[in-house]
Amino acid sequence: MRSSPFDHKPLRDLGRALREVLDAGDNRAFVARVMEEVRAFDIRQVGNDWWEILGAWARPGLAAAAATVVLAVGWTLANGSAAPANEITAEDALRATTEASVLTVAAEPPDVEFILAAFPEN
Amino acid sequence: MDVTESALAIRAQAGDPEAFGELVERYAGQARRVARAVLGDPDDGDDAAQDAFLSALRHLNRFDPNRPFGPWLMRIVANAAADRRRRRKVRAADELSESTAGRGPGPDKETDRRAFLRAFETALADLPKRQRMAVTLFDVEGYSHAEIAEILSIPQGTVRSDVFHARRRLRTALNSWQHHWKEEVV
Repeated sequence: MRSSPFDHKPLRDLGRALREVLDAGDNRAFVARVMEEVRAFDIRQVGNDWWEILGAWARPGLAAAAATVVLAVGWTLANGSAAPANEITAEDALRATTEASVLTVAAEPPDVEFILAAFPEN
Repeated sequence: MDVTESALAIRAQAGDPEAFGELVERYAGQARRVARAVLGDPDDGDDAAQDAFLSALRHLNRFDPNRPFGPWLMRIVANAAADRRRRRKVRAADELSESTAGRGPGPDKETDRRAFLRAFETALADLPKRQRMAVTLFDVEGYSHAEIAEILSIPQGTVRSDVFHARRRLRTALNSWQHHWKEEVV
């Protein structure tokens, strides 16, 4: 049975030629350069930990602050829109029988029938 | 898996820089070659390989010492090289001398060999990045299809296809150098 062309084995000569093309030369200088960074890394790591810890604390703090602001704005809007200042309720109109000044702040002129009904019949 | 390598990884995870240094020594050549296969330029390749070793050190706690270290590291190398390539927009082919690309064999044996290697480098640089990495990891570094699939995060079938097409394209590009090409490619 013929094997698939994709069932290949490594080719020694191809590997050797590729290695020759890709080899960057002596590894010692490279290893020394990396190890210099590795040794310096321990010192820098301490600093990084500080910032990582502060960052870890700051993120939920900021999220909580943002959520508080959103809730506060939402609560203010909800309460503000529930009873706008220039709307007159039936209760206000009844109270107006003794506080005539309320009529001066109403947006619409009062209904005459409504006002007469508020006074006791003579 | 090499027991000593596993022991080195465990010691390195415990904070032993010398153990990590031993791993760097073992994998320096491989990491440099794979990074260079991606980037084309040896200096860029070395920078990427160094980035990869430092990244591996930072994330060493994520490595499972029961698994081989090589594929885990090569995955980091491949990513570091790809990142650097994206950042610098390195075109490997641009780094090569056009005067030597595609030239036929010369009279002198050593000159001939150097010209062959340059032509080979050009042919390699002309391959798509993934094919370059697949053929390098398979034919130079000896990783299996399954390991390469894990390193490059692609299906095994794609690895097989990439190696096949990379070899075929290299052979086509190097037809005039058949005397350097002992084995049948593909």
